[in-house]
Amino acid sequence: MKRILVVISIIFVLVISMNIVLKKHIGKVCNEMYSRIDEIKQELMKEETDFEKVRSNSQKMEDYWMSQYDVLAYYIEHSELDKVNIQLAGLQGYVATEDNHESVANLDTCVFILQHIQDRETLKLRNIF
Amino acid sequence: MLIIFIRSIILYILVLFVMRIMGKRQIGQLQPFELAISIMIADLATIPMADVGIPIINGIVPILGLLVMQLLISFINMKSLKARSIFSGKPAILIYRGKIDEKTLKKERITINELQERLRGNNVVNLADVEYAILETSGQMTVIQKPEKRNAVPQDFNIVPEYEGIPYDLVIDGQVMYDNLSIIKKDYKWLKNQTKKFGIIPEEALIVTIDGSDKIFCQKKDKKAE
Repeated sequence: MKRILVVISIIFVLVISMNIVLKKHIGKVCNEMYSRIDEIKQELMKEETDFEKVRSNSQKMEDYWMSQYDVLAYYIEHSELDKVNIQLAGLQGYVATEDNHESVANLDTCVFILQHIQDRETLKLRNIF
Repeated sequence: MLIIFIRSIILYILVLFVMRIMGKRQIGQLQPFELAISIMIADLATIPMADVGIPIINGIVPILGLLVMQLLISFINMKSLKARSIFSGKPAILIYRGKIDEKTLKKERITINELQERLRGNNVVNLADVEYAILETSGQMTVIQKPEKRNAVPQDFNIVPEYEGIPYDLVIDGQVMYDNLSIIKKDYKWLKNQTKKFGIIPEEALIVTIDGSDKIFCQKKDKKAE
């Protein structure tokens, strides 16, 4: 009997603590991505956009995302993460062609996908049902 | 391809571990909630096995969730009779004192043909020979025949057979079972003397057993079969 209760307790503690740790991690990564996206967006919205700066920042953002990708892939569906990869790849093209409008739209889509990923991992009735 | 192969091994080990924790039951003796969980575990394991895009943890966590449910329900069942009847149901007596209980038969949705089929599965071909037929919660049927129809036992002839006990394995595949030797209060030296009568040492034996009347069964390993 005791063994059953011990096993149940261990599993509960494991799952709950893992959930807390992973949620914190995804939160940290998303917040970092939001601030980087915001920085690039601010630059793109200027009258005189410094595309060198945008190019450099977007490359750094992509490098950061890829550095976090491996860890995120352990617990988030790869298809969801790949959506962000696709947006970042598209962003490189728009920045290269110095297309402000498409770049901003692309960044907004990226934000939406990241928010969706965060939302999916949140404990909500909607997600349970 | 190698990824799927490794994932399937990991998930198989996990499912094996979970089934082991769930306890010893044969498929035919599972309670309804146990059967449901076993089927679901099998399905849950195959999803991340086949799709590398799904993190393996998406298979592991639900399996652990089902294990928790199974252990919890088992625990509640052990503590509460009422819970037992809710989760596992109650056995139903289909034949009571030689008479078929039609009401119970209808309630369990069993036809006469199915009843006869199940009786035949219990080696009873004549319905008239049955005193009680009980449909267990696992779906199996227990049949108690009328006294004049059941198999004879020594008691019927006023015979009291000698106590037989159970046979103990002393050597399996050349491995000496020291635990069993200590149970029967013997040692390796004694075992070696016994196997010497068969012309072998214990390590050369495929199997050595001893029964309740101290009779030894010994078979040598077939070198060609190795």
